[in-house]
Amino acid sequence: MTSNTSLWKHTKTWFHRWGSPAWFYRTSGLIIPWLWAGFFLLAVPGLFWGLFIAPADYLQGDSYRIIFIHVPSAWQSMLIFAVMAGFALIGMVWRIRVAETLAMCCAPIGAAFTVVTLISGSLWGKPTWGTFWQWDGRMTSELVLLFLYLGVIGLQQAIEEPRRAARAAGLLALVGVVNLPIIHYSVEWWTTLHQGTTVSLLGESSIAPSMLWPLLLMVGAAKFFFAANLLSRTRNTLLVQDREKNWVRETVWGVKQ
Amino acid sequence: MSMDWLSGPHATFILSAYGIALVVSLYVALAPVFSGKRQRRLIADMHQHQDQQTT
Repeated sequence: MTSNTSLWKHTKTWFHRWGSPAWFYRTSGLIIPWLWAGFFLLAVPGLFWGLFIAPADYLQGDSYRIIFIHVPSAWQSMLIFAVMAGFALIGMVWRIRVAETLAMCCAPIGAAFTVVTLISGSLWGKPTWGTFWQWDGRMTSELVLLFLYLGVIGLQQAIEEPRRAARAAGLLALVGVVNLPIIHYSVEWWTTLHQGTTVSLLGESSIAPSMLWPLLLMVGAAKFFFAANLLSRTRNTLLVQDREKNWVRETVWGVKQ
Repeated sequence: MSMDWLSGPHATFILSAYGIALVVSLYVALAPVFSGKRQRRLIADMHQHQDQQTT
């Protein structure tokens, strides 16, 4: 009982520490190189396997190889929106500035993943369906996701005071979460040109293991890319927000004042 | 190892998709590195200016 209480206390203290910008800046600086290492460790074999080892698809031929960037980007674009809304909620409920900053730094990365998803999907669509674009459920809801990201970025830029901007944009992120189940279930709710679910986390996947493994490596790589990038962007933003504070002075000059 | 697809009919689509993904991810990955360096320099200049004014 005592050890459990002590473990809980330690975990709580550890989480609270992340709320300190100075601690966040120092600790994330130590983690970022490892995240990049994780990204390269997964992305290099994933890309090589996907582009040069995995066999051609019996129906789509080689054009399916776009899956190794399209699906990881698409999953990541949705996950980032959920993470952004989660941080925005934490920021709103507990007024933790680091959480607000993390939420706002998610938006440009999520928008980039959404752009890659839309462009790669479009380039895959032409040889497969004969068209770059169709206003079907999956594609349209993914485009709405891009507009939501742009809305969050725009709203945040439009308000000068950073904390007010983060709260207003965070509210939009929370409302926008409603789009995530629409994207996910769009292929089941409507008859779409976009194919149905191929990879299932709980059930059996309808994709060959020789194609599934490189795909999973790329999915993992996208997670590391996002985490490293998010921490880098958040560190920069915190440094600018706290430029008058002592911890920034110590960090920039490398000495205690 | 199969590289036959590079001379196949879908090579343009595959290479375009990967090329665009590479450009976007490079931009997203490198932007905070360069802006971080610039911001640290600006903050250092600001502190130096403040210190000079106080002495």
